[in-house]
Amino acid sequence: MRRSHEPPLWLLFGAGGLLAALLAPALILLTGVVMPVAAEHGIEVLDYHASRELFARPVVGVPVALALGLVLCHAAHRIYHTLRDLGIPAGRGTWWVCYGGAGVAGLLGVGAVVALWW
Amino acid sequence: MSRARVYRPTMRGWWERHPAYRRYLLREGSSVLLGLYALWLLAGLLALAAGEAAYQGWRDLHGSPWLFGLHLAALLAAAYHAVTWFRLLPLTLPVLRWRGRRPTDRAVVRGAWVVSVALSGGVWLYLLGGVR
Repeated sequence: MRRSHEPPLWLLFGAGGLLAALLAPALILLTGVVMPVAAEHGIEVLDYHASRELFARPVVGVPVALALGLVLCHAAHRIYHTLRDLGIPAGRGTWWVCYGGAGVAGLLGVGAVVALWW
Repeated sequence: MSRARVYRPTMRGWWERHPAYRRYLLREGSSVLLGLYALWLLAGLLALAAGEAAYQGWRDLHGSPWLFGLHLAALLAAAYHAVTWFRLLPLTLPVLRWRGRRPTDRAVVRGAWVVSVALSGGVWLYLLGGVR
């Protein structure tokens, strides 16, 4: 019998879902609402120098990039399976776009953080 | 001879059959906005690596009504995701022990919310530079 690769994917899905449940509301509120509203009042939240200093720290930048990758794995998993639930034919190609895209995005994030070290 | 007619239930339009199915779709759909938000943060990280002008451009875009509205929608989606995720936590977690006893489902869900609020508060303080 061919081994399924579903269990490790489910682990990534679960980790991303838990992270998103714990932190996403607060983060969206901060970067999507507080940051632009504060900017209108002349208060700079997460400006270039502060952000650069923050994310250039390996203990901040790398986990953040990996967390983004996990949340994308979560979204990829749900989108892929919901397409199938809806009866939309989603085959190997879609599978690769979903999970491959999440993986590539995670690596890109790590690359961006590493680029901050120079 | 004609073939026997077999009754085959179809799954077509299954989401129209019960409100719970639509709530399920809404829950799964919340992941689209969460994924978009993660991609947007990734774009911000890349802009940060590209330099000050790129990062400032990324920040300035948040003032546009479209992006502001998308963020509000993503906030709702994230809240719905959190509510549904924590509600299912007692079913998906391995068996927990707390002082030799199993916590009730309610305690597990409440505990998850406490952890969420504490972590969120910590991240806010850290990102806003209150704690260095």
